[in-house]
Amino acid sequence: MEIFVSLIIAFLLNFKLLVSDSSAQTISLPTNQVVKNEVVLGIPARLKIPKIKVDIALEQVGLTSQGAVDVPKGHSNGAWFNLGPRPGNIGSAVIVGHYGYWKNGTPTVFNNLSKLRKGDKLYIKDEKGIMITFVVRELRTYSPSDNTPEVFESNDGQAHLNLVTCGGVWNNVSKNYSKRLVVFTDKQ
Amino acid sequence: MGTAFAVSFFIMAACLAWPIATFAAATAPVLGEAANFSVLAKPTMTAANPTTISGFLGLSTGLAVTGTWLPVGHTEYLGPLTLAGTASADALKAFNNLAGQHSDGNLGAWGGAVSLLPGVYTEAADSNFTGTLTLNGGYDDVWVFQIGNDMTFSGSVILTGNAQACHVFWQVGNDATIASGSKFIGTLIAGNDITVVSGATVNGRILSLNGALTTDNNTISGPTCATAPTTSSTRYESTINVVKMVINDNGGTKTVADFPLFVNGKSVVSGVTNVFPAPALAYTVTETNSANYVRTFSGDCDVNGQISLSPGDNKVCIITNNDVGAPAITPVVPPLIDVVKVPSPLALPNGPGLVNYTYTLTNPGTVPVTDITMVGDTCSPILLYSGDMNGDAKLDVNETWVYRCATTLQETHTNTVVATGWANGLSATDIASATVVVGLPIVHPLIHVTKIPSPLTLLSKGGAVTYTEKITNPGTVALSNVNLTDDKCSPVKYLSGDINNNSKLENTETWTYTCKTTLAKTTTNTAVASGEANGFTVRDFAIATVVVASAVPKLPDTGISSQTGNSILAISILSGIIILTIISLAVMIFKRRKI
Repeated sequence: MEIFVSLIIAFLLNFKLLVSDSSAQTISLPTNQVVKNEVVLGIPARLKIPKIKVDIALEQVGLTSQGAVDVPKGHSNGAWFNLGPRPGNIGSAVIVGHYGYWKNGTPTVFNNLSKLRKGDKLYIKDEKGIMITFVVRELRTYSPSDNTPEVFESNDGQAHLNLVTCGGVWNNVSKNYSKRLVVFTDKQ
Repeated sequence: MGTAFAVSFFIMAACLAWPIATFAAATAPVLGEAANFSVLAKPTMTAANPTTISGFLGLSTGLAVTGTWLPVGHTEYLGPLTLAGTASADALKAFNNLAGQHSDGNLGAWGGAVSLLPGVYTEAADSNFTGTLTLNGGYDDVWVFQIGNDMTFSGSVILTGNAQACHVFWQVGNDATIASGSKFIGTLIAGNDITVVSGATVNGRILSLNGALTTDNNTISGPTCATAPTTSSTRYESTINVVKMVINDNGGTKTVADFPLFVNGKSVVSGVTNVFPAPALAYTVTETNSANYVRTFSGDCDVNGQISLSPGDNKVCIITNNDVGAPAITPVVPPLIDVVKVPSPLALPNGPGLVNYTYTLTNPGTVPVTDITMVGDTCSPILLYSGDMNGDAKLDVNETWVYRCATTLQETHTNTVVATGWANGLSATDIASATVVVGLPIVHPLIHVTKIPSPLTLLSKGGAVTYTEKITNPGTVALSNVNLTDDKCSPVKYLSGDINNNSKLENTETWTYTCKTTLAKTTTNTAVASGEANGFTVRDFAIATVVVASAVPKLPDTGISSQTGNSILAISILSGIIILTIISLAVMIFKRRKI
């Protein structure tokens, strides 16, 4: 029994060490490069969400032939929807990422998106190295067929970034999830 | 450079092209009553043989003339109490005015074939000229010759360009002689005696302040004078150019040719400049429209396609037709095109001549532009000289296409070219105009504006768009009162570019403007840049389309089968349970053995 307890304790200790190592990779923000609205922003290059340990490169995607936002090609990438505004520019920018597990068991980049809560911060670094901060406002769940203009459009003159992924239950027949999860954020 | 050298240079350059230089402006003096007199003298006036005059004859203080003065019945004023006395006093004022004008250079010993720019030329002592004096200039250019003592002129004065006899003045301090057979031009005011030798003709006036006048079978007429044409004179045609743009962002397939165009019912072709009578309060631009296209007017047309026309106007009416079709989720990327036109030379001061137009075509957008057409008036053919680097007949974003065309201009003319290209079912158009002044030493200014929207496309319901406009000066004269407007975006804000802060757009400067707006639907807007120089106002247009999709995208399907992940989780849990079970069993066995 003691061995079992020791194993459990050792497991917990290792887990704590792992957590500590991960959290040691803190994100430093180049404050001298924080931009204001008037700065011309480059193409978004990376997305960092410290709370759920996301630090990924961004591709660009457009629309599929069915009129849906396309998805990233790279397993470990997210994708900026390049028919909308750039993150940090006025309007609603959209970044999409996969949900689920790859065949080798690797979790996809937005598996933990649902753990974000209002006030959590995320960061976009553009191709020029400029960092822009966004703050989570709310999370919403949609059906795949919902009409969602609020995801792609805004008219308040502010810059928004909306993260989109899947959620709900996997359907083995249709080979997709039953829900879509959108995290709405505002530029800080 | 000393003034003497300057004059010598221009004398030597008589047979060369007219050099461009800056001289102190000579001015025509006020002649008062003397302006109406062909001849004026003080004590005596003698015609050895009959002399013809076109204006008044005046003698003051003398009371009688000698010889035959023609025509019979001409007007004579004799005696100081007549108009001749007033004219003589006015001539003295003009004499003093001429003598007081700042000299541009000394004449020295001159003769032969001499060509002089407008200006003030001086000889302090006697001056003797034998040869041909050519005065080349514009309607308002003035020549003043200041001779300190005696002058003898033998030969001819020739006026070229639009130089005028009424703007040539000779101020001679003492005696003046126009030699036999000479062809003299200008108003001669001498302090003492004047002799016009047999057979000489004068296009001007012969005015002696204190001496006698002797003539011999001469004609003294004129001086001829004409009013300079203005930019609104009938020499400048009044034109309307109707430019068609087509936007197929919802599946339409029509082209420019599918929309026949009319001005007051007269058929016109897109991009072709048409002359119309002016002034006119309103011409109406119409077209044969398609039911599946929405039409909007811009440029100089009002929203109803009406356009006023004043003499000399060169108006542009832009009609944009946007298709109405199935809602499009994906906004097609619109093309942009930009054309600059520069004539060479920029002016033809000596009259009609050859002009070479160079058209520079670029693509400031993001997609290649196909089916390029260049429609120009008065110059044909417009030939592609270089630029299609890969030979694909597409104006790629990194290419600069150069076109050329040459024509002979008989009179001042504004030449307009309309460049049109296509991409993704949308047309892009740019318009460039350039005026070459013929017969005047005036360089017409040029102006150019480019406009780039960002972004070029928007999703459903639209969003914010920022237009960046850049104004440049492809000409040689600085532009004042530079202004930029946009028919569908305001305010247009100046950002930078006036490097020397003189409020003038020099040809080395690029002035940058910006304008932000929110678009809810596909929009083509027209920016108009204007500037002024040398009494002319020039304009240029920049037209750009931003495509707004009409349907919202669907949310992405980013899901990856959860089975693999669930299996791994299940395996992990199962493995954990097995391990814990084994450990528990081991512990139990260990304890039992101890017991």
